[in-house]
Order: sequence, then C-alpha cells, then structure tokens
Amino acid sequence: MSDISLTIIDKAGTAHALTAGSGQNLMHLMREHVDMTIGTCGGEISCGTCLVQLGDGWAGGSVSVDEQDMLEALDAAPGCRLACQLSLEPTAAGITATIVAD
Amino acid sequence: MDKTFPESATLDRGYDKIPLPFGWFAVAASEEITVGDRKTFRYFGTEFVIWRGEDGQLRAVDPFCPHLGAHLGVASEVVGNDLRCAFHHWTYNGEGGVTEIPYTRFVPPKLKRSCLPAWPAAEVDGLVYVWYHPNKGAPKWEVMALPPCPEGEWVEEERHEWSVNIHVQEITENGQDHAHFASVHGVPGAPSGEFRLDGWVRRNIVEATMNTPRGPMHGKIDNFATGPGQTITQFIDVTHVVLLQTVTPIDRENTHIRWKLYRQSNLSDGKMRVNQARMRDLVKQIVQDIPIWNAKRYVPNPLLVEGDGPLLAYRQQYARFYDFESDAAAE
Ligand code: FES
Ligand code: FES
Ligand SMILES: [Fe+2]
Repeated sequence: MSDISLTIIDKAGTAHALTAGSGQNLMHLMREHVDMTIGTCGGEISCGTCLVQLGDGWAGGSVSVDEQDMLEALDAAPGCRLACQLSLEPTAAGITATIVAD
Repeated sequence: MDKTFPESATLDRGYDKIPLPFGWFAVAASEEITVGDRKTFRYFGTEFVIWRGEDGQLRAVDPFCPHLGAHLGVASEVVGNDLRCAFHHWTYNGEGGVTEIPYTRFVPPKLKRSCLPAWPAAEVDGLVYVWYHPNKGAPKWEVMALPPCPEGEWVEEERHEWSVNIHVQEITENGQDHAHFASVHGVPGAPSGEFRLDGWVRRNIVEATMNTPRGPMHGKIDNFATGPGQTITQFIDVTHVVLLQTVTPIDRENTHIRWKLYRQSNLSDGKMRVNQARMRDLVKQIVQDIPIWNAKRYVPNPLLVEGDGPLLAYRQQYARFYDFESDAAAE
C-alpha cells in the first residue's frame, strides 16, 4: 500500500509534513505526530478537539448525523471535519489539514 | 467401603440452564420511591436505578455512568426531572440523554440523544414495573391493570411478599398443575374449565369448589396472565376477591413474589367473613407451595399422566418469552 503524504498545520501555524498508509485515522495520526492534546474523546464525537479545516482536494467522504450535529454545535466553518471520523484514502494525497484552534 | 456420590449431579436444580424471560415485572410499591428519591434495585441478575422527578414520573436507567463509571445509585441527586451523577455532575434524563455537563461548552449532540441505556418504566395500581429484556428489546405489551370493580372501587385489603428460591417460570406453572391442588392444598376435586393461550396472554376460567367458613362452595376462578410477570385472579362466588400477583426474577433461582388482595367496598359482615376466609385460604395455599418450590428441581421432560393438567402447553407458550432475537414477532 503506497503511502499518502499530507501536511498538517498545528495550532501555532507550524506545518508538519507526514506520510501515512491508506485507512489511517486522521485524528490518531495527528495526535501521535503533531498535537497530543487533540482527540480527548478518542473518536466518540463528544469532544470536538479534533476539528480540522480541510484544504482543497479532499472532503473526507460522507458526514454522519452525529458528526453533522457536532459540527453545527461547534459553529464549524464550511470545509471543517472531525478528524476522528476521517480515514485517509489515496485521493487525500497532497492535501493540507489545519487544526482549528479553540 | 469406598463409595462416591455424584453430589453435584443429584443437586443440580437445573435453573442455571433456563434464561430469564422478557416482560414487565414489578420492582417496588409506588410509595417506596417518593418525589426526589432515587434507588438502586437488584433484579434479573443485574442492577438498575430508578428515580422520581419533580413531575412525579418514574425513570429507570442502567447503573453505571458512561462517563467514567460512577454508580448512579450512589450519592447521585435528583435535579428537577433528571438524575445528576455524583462523580462529575453530568445530568441524565429518563431517556438516558445527557442534559448537562457543568464544565464543557455544550452537551455534545450525540450524548444529548442518549448514551445511558434506559429501562421502560410504568406505574399501575400502586406498583412500579420495569420492562426487562436481555437485549433491551422494546415492550411488546402493556402492564395489565385491575379489572373494573363491579360496584364502587376496589379496596386493597392485604399485601404479602415472599422471596422464593426457584426460577420464575415454575411459580406460574403451578396454576396449571391440576394434580397438586388436592395433594398440597386439599382442594376437593380437580378444577375444570377453559384454558386459553393467546399471544402473550394466558387465561384460565374454572368452575371450582373453594373452601369457605360455610364449607366448600361452588364458584368461578378467572385467572388472567399477561406476560411472565403479572397474574390477576378473580374469585367470584357470594363475594368477589381479586388477587394481583407479580413474580419478579431476582436471578435464575430466586424470585420475588408480591401479592395485593382486593375486595369490594360496603360488604355485609357475613360477606366480609367469607372474604377474609378466602384471603386466609389463598395465603395458606401459597405457604403450602413454597417449601416445595424452594427445594424442587426443574424437570425438562416430566413424566405426565392423565389428570396432570396443561403443563406442556403452558411451557410451550412460555418459550415465547425467551425468544430474544425475533423482536419483530407479532404483537
Ligand atoms: S476525537 Fe473527539 S470528536 Fe473527534
Ligand atoms: S462518572 Fe458520572 S459524571 Fe463522571
Ligand atoms: Fe399451589
């Protein structure tokens, strides 16, 4: 499985170039390599700390009702997703995801 | 001489092999849970917590807070209609949804919907019922209420409770066991009448000879059960006595029996005496049954003869209450 390269921009504005396999959960990837304070709820859609703004090129696939409601409760801008609900796929190669500061 | 008795084989009463049936089961008398109270109950081999909100309604949930596992029956508080966990003050409504978390910006929508399994609860004729289903299947029928009183209102005359060492299925099987009425209870003649099984309902109407202070008297016994937990029996002759019996599994070999006995109001002294004798006789009968129940074993393939009564038909219907998978079964 070929690796997918992507860029994560942390809350301080620093860019981190990462590579990961297809199927990798984006929240776990960011928590391990970029910012250990995100992902408080472990992907239960109940903390909102994994909110990311996705750059052009990948929308992350379908949004569940629970995620949609959480995005609205968080007042998230268009193009934002909960990283814990995203699995990387080959079409995500080259994208930039920005961790949204709270 | 060396002889080993296979003790475990002879003393295995078989109850750990029968599951617990789904249904409505009485778990308390209404006045045991006043407004603002919360209590932990231990039935069905598990625990649950019931509270009464300030609107007077009862709510029941699983015992452990899904946040970090505190027991919701310990040091928790009823706040309005909700229950507040003692550990971090998350507050739950009766559907198991979170209504408040004091230290976060908003309650996450997913948790607001429900994150704590709730138990359907009902209150009928002064008893608190919960719906038990091992897979949390939804209720399939309603709690049965007392029949209308032919004149005025029923008067609750007596209450009794027994904790019996037997599986719940065996207690209501007793009513179908015709032969034991003579041997255990000394009731003259086997009852004859109609026996109907229909869906979740079991009905038994018999013409029977009942003991009264004036000697044996002919009367009608109308026995109506809905589900495994509730039986209402009317004894009708010169008077009319109603017995509301609930049987609630504590676990597979222990059952809590509750009785409420009702009579009609404004009875003459003579009818009152017949009533009291009837109630005394009923209590005497169950007290005769209990030692046998406490020690008997479940026989899956009993040796039955003519005159034994519709025990197997009873069991066949009862098996429906163990059909945990097909939730879509006919109502
Ligand atoms: S990790 Fe909590 S919402 Fe994504
Ligand atoms: S464990 Fe109940 S609120 Fe935290
Ligand atoms: Fe009996």
